[in-house]
This record gives sequence, C-alpha cells and structure tokens, in this order.
Amino acid sequence: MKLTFAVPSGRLSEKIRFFLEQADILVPVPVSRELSIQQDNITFIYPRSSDIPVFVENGADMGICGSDTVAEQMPEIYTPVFLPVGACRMSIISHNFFDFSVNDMKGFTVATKYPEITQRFFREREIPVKIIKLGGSVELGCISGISDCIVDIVDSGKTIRENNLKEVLKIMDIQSVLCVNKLSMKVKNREITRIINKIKEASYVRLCPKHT
Amino acid sequence: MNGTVLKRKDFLYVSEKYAFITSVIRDVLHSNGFHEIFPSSVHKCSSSVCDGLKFSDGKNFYVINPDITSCLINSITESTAKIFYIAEKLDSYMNSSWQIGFEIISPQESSNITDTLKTAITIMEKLGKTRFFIDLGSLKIWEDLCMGVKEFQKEIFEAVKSQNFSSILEMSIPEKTKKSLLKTIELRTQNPPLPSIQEIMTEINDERLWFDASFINQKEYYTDIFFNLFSTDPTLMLGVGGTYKTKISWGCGMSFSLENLFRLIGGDIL
Repeated sequence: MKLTFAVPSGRLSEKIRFFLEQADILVPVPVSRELSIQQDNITFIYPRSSDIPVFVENGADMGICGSDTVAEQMPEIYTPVFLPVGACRMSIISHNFFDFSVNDMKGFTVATKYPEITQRFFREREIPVKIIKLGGSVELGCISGISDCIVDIVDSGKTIRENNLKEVLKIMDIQSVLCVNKLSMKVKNREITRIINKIKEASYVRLCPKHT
Repeated sequence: MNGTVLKRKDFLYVSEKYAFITSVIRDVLHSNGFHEIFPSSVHKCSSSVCDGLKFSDGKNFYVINPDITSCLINSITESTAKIFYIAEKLDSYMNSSWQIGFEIISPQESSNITDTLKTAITIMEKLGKTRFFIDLGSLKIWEDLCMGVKEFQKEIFEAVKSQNFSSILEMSIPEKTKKSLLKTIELRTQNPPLPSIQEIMTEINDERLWFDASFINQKEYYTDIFFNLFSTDPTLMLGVGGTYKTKISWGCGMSFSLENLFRLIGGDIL
C-alpha cells in the first residue's frame, strides 16, 4: 500500500533525515526545487514544518514536525512517537533589566508566533494578557518596545543573550514528533505500524547508546 | 499532464450535487420517521457549545454555526424525538463544512444506537455505496481500565488519543495495568469484550461493523459509545456519531460530511 510521508524542509531537515536513516528509512534529498519524490512505496513531500500537521490532518499519511506546531494547531491527528531530535524549549523572555514573576504579568503585552499556546498558558493561570502575533524575529517585540515580553523557542539561548534578553520561565519542552493521519492508521495500519516501530527502535537506541 | 480530468467545484455545480445527496438522505430519514429541524446559526457562547466561530458584539459572546448536537443537548425537552438537520458548521478559522445530521432521542439507550447505525447503513446503500466500514469505540472500556489508577486517567486518555503508547510505559502505574492498557489499544475486532457493544453488533449483524478500542471519544458530550463511518477507497471520513445524555433522556446521533460524501460519489451522480 502506498504512503505519503511529509518531511520538513528547512532547519530540521538534515537532522531528521539522518535520524530516519538510523531507523532504516531513507529519505531522498530533493534536487533543486523538487517538492515531492517517490521512492518505493512512499511518496515523500517536503512542506514547511509548520504546515506538516495540516498535511497530515487532511490526507498525508504521516509526517514529522516540532511538538510546538502540534501544540499550537491542535490538529485531529495521532502523535505516537516523540523523536530525540530538535529538542528545545518554549519560554517567556524579557529584557535583562526587567525583574518579575509570571504572577506579576497581569495586563502585560506578549508578542509571539504561538498565540494559542500563549493564550492557554495564561488562561490556565487566570492571568489576563494582551497577545500580539508576530511571524518571525519575535525578539524584536521586546527590543522595539511593542510588547513587555515575548513567548518564543529557546535553543542554545545565544540569540536572546546577544539581544540583552533573558529567559523568565520555561512554558514547555519541545522536540520532534511523528504525526499520523487518524484514518490512515486504520486503513494502512500494517505499513504505518512497521514505520512507527522502526522509529521507536531508533529513538530508543539514540536515547540509550549503550545498547548499540 | 497525466490525463486526470479536473472536477468542477464551482458553487452551482457543487450545490447541485449536494442537493442530490441531501435529497436521497432526506428520503431515507423521512421514511424512517425523522422530522427536519432548522437550527439557528447564532448561539450564545457557553462551555457546552462546541466548535463554531466565536465573536463578540461588545456586550456578549456568541458563536456562529457551532456543532448542532452540542446545542440540541441543552435545548431538547422531549424524552423521545427523531430529528435531522442540514447545516453549515464553521471552525475558528472560518472554514465551512456542510453536514447532514440526525438524532434519535429516547430512554432506550441501546436501541438508539442500533437504530442510528441501521439508518446510517441504509443511507450509504441508498447512495449506492456499499464499501465502507463503521468502527465503534467505547469510553467505558477505558474508564474501567483506569479504575485503580484514577489519578492517571487524564494522562492515559491523552496517550490513547494521541496513540502515544510509550508514554503509558513511562507512567508510574502497576505493570498489570500497563499490560491491560497496551493490550486494549491494539484491540480491533468483530468480537468485542464488552457485552453492550457485542449486543449492538449482533443485532445489526453487518460485517462492515468493527470494534476499535484504540479510538477515544471525539466530542466532550459523548457518554460511552461513539463511531466513525469511513471509506477506504478513497480514504475518507464520512460520518461520526455517538451517544449522549439530554436533560431528561438519552440520545444518539450522527452527522455526515456532505463534502466527503460528494468526494466519494460526486463523479457517480449524473
């Protein structure tokens, strides 16, 4: 049975391709501007990471993206395996010279690429904040003064340090996650389970190198 | 070009096809004693109203075109009713989908389910489609398994919803419970261990009916049994439904996606 597998283009693509190779799933490298490549029974497509849940929810059989994207979009998909790839965190970030705790944030303006996650975080704590959605370079929200703080992804922390910002509080851990279309899981169960098991095995080996 | 003919999707063409599909379904529902209702598009926002597009007029919050069943649950005061509706549903991104849904309200919970499923099968057959499956799921099977580990129920339900079995292995719950949970997740059978579901399947006696323990309720208001009707070629989710409780009675309902029915049979309609 044929499968469609969405692999992210961009920042994470190399790491994910390398990881999938360890799981014995060889992802072809697109030449030039190719957006899809058929290999054996799998058609690999290469959308942006943030679009992968949309593809999987609406017809692609499976895909890999960041857990932040899934948490933001809350799509109707399965996420059976978290991969030991692309680990980072989402945090509240503010100016170095600001000193406050989350409970002091009532009425703050928060800039973010993740309005749903941010909204949920503050709503659960009953802290009313104004949320501004930005598409990129979120740190500029703080730097330009249009927001009191930002909610964004922190990897090494280099960008925030270089811009005189600091991490106030971690909201959630993030890592890559395998997404599976709910109907495909029923209809193509054998093929998909085989891939899930390969990925689980590779994740386990990666997490426990002594077993290699 | 690979020779594929682009299907028309303009408003009049699609409306014509939707009209055909709804007329077939209306005939089935009328002949089975259902009455059509005309739900309002705008409802006051409340925690019990699902989906829809939320907006405010500056004083109150409202929701446009929400999930109809979630609105009916609080407004139906009859203990028995057979109703259906054709309605547009919106999500928070203003994506629209048309649905045709029907509801059976009566104190007999079990017969509500069998009547709903039999009606759904008749609808599909009248539309000329016999290759489909109906998967039944149960909330109770999971609640029973979580009996001794109540404090983990939310996490366990989340793990089943996302099919993330590894997270169950990592939970601090007895090994025996883990084994039972993992065994249940893999359960897709025509001989379910639950007598209530077995009874329904025996009564309907249709080989397209399966029990799939791995899928968990999609709507907050489902009380126990829920189901999906889907085709495998092409792979399309055609309808979803389940059981719920009204103020004074029990209900079971199902809604078909007109868009997916059109995808499934659009080309067959002359």
